[in-house]
Amino acid sequence: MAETIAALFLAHVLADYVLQTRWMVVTKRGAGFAAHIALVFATAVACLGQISVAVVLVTFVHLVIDAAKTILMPDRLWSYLADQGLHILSIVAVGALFPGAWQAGLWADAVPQATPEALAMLAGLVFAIRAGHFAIAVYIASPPVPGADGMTARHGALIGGLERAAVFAAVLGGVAALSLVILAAKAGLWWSRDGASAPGRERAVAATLASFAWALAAAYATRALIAML
Amino acid sequence: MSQTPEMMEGAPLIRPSSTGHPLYDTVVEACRSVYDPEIPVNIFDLGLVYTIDIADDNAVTVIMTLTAPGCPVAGEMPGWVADAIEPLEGVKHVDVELTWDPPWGMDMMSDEARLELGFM
Repeated sequence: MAETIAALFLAHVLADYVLQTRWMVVTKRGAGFAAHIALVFATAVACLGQISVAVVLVTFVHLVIDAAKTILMPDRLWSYLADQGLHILSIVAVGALFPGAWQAGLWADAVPQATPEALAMLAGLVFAIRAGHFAIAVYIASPPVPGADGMTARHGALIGGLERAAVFAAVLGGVAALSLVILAAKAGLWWSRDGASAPGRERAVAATLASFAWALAAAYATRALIAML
Repeated sequence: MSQTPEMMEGAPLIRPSSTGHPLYDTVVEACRSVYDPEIPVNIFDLGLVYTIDIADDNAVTVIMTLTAPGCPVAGEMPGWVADAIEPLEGVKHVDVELTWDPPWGMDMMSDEARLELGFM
């Protein structure tokens, strides 16, 4: 079951966070929606190595959740969390309904034993970095104060991605305490920058705490999934 | 964490542009030359440019948004817009500000953009 969930989770993060283009997002009430759902189907087929009821079901549920979000929910943090939470829940449910889907697929016998673990780790890492990026952007929901803290939006996003990757690696590597060192290092970075304005600093603190919380949640969830493999 | 000052009730969500200024049309055309590399419609027709304010001394302030917070071009788009407007004859100084208020929506696209993106 956990192998099926790992493969479908990777398919999900690829379809939502790696291969989805802004054209698909902008036209999500039109052609982009169909393209996105086709992408969800294609990534599920590729990751699970099969065209099956499980793949069709996971695609259909993705369609229903996305349509409900687009039509019913405003773009807020809670709607983003609800959307991703429902997607993950649906993947777990499909995994429970079709526990042998991975074993029935093309890859189970053709790839090394450790592959599902690698899939789960890759999916968790992408989710920690990329899904976290959007969650934090929606959470702070204020544009960067240009030049106020001597840092551009691109730098902030890059550092955020790196810190989530580091926290994720620390937890998966069994040295979760290292994430405190990373947090301390970043706090040191703020105070050392004299030019930082109060709003800029406040924004950076909020974003960093959210970033750490997101990375820790993604890492522990991934660790739990790997433990089930 | 909003730093938006209190607005008077009834004040428009989007500040009006200096449509009567002689430079307005050329600044709009310059905005129409800027594209998000993943979207085949320029940022002006996409409705990302909220306000083009041109002062009497020809200093231009553009207030714009992006399709979503977290858009990966957030760090670059204001620079692209400034680079498009700055060389225009008569323009003195360009300032591009990002805002998420009000958030961009598909209803902000021009009819041409809708047509191009297959909505009409």
